[in-house]
Order: sequence, then structure tokens, then C-alpha cells
Amino acid sequence: MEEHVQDLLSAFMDDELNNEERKMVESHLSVCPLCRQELEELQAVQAKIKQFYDSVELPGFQFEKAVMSKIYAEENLVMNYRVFIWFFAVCILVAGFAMYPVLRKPFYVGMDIASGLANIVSSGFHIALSILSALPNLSAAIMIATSVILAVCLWLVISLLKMKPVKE
Amino acid sequence: MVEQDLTRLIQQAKSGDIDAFAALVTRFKGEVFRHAYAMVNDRMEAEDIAQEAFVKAYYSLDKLEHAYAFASWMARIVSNLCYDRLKKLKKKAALQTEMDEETLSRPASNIERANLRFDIRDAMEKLSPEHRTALVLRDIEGYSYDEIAKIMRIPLGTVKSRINTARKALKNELSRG
Repeated sequence: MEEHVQDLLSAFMDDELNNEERKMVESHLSVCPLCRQELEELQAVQAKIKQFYDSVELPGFQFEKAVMSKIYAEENLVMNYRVFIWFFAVCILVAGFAMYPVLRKPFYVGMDIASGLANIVSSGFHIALSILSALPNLSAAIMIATSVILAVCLWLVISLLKMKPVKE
Repeated sequence: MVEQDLTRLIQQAKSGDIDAFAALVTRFKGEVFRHAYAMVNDRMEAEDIAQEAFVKAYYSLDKLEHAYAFASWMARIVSNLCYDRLKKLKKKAALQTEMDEETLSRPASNIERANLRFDIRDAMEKLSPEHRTALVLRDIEGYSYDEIAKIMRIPLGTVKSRINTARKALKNELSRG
């Protein structure tokens, strides 16, 4: 007798075989009681699954209510958050306008201090640049330092590549 | 519900019509709940997953490209939620087993074990989540192998072998009971 077709029976039941495979299974089934029995048992299993889960009692109307209330709750949360953000922004603006006469003087003083600080930082930067450019052979020193660092890196990479993995 | 009406309902829901979405929940709650129930084997958990799936679907509706793919898109959402829930339940069960081992003085006798009833749900629980999903999508939801491959994002050959293995395992479990 030709080879059994057990592994194709599932797809055969579901009509998921190509023509050639289907014909082969059909011709085998007509002569093999063992595979016929296997097919019947698999079909019985399929029917049982379908029957069991089709008969499961579905959740009632409260299910839809629960889903929709969860959605509404999240929508409200998002809405409340947006309202809060807008409210906060408006409050800041109103407070800014209302306190303008009072805060005008300190505001200008603050601006003066900030611009003074910025000037100090930029002058410091300028001084540092001038000192560095006045140093003799600066570019040569940088080149040498870079070459040393590169050489060290290269040596490290080579020694890492030479390392063997630790065996357990 | 006629296919055209359904497509219109899905499009309305996509454009933000909350009543249309509520109608979709009513239409699809059976499929979604059965899928979840077959996966987690617990009514309360299944109901919770099904609700979560619809809420998740509502907020991702703009990602749904074609209205006709709503059902399979929902099936993917439910599958993913079920995987997550099963992972959590497995961790919880492992913890529970540890506690039980400490507290139980007498293990169940052979007779008690033999008396355990093997029904479909017990047998389904023996399958891996991946095999269970393939079988649920085929035998409970009625998807073709090609659709299952797309929903689960696996090759067609894998769908074939998973369904085949799952049915054989179920057959063996049920015949033992």
C-alpha cells in the first residue's frame, strides 16, 4: 500500500490542499481504512470544538455598556487634560498682563543682568581663544597628542582581537 | 448584517461616529469573546480581554487601512491581548504552584487524578498559545489558512503544520479522557 496521508488530512478537511494533493488523499482514503478512521476522528474533534464554543453563552448587553463607558471615561480624561492645559495657558497670560505694571521694573533689571552675564561669557571665550592662538607650536602639539591617542587605540583594538573567548 | 451595511458602519466608526462603533461592538462581541474564551479558558478574563480589545480598536481605528479587514484586524488585536494575558497568568500560576507546594501536605492520589474530566477546555489548555490561536482562528472563527497566516504573521506552511499538530494533540487528549 502507498504511504499514509495522516499529515495531509487536516488540510484536506479544510479544503486547503492543491488539486494534486487532494486527488492523492482521496485515492489513498478509498483504499486505507486506517486513514479513513483518522479522518473521521479529526472531523469529530473539529465538530466538538465548533459545537462547544458556539454554545458558549455570550456576555449580555452590559458588555457593550462596559466598553462604551471605558471609551467615554478615556475621552473625558483626554478632554479634561486639554481643558486644563488651555486654562493654565490663559491663566499665565492673564497673570502676565495683570502683573506687568508691578513687574516691569524687576523685568528690565533682570534683562540687564542677563545681558551682562552673556557679555562676560563671550569675553571669556574670546580671551581663551586669544591665549591659545598666541601659544607657539600649538598645532604641532595637537597633532602629536592625537597621534599618541590613535596609536594607543590601535594597540588596544589589536590586543582585543588577539584575545580568545573564555571557555567554560 | 449585510456586508455593505457593515462596511458603511466601519467607515462611520473610522470617521469618529461613536454610535457606529457601539453597533460594531454588538456585531462582533460574539467572535471576540469566543476567541478570548477559547484562548484563556476563563469567562471573566475573556470578557475583560474582549472589552480591552474593543477599547484598543476604537483608539487605533485610524490605523485600519481597509474597512473590509475589520474582522481579521480585530482577531489580531485579540490574539495579541490573549498572548499578553496568558504570559501574566502563567507567571501568576507559577507563583501559586510554589505556594501550594509549600502548603499542601498530601498530593492528589492517582485515583483522583484519573477522575479528572478531560473535556474540550482542558484539552485546549494543553496546547501552546500559538497552536491554540491557529486552531481557534480556523475552527471557531472560520478563517482560511491564508487569512490566518496574515493575522498571525507567519508563513502558510506554519499555519498548516500548527493546525495539524493542534488537532492531533486534541484528538489524543480527548480519546484519553
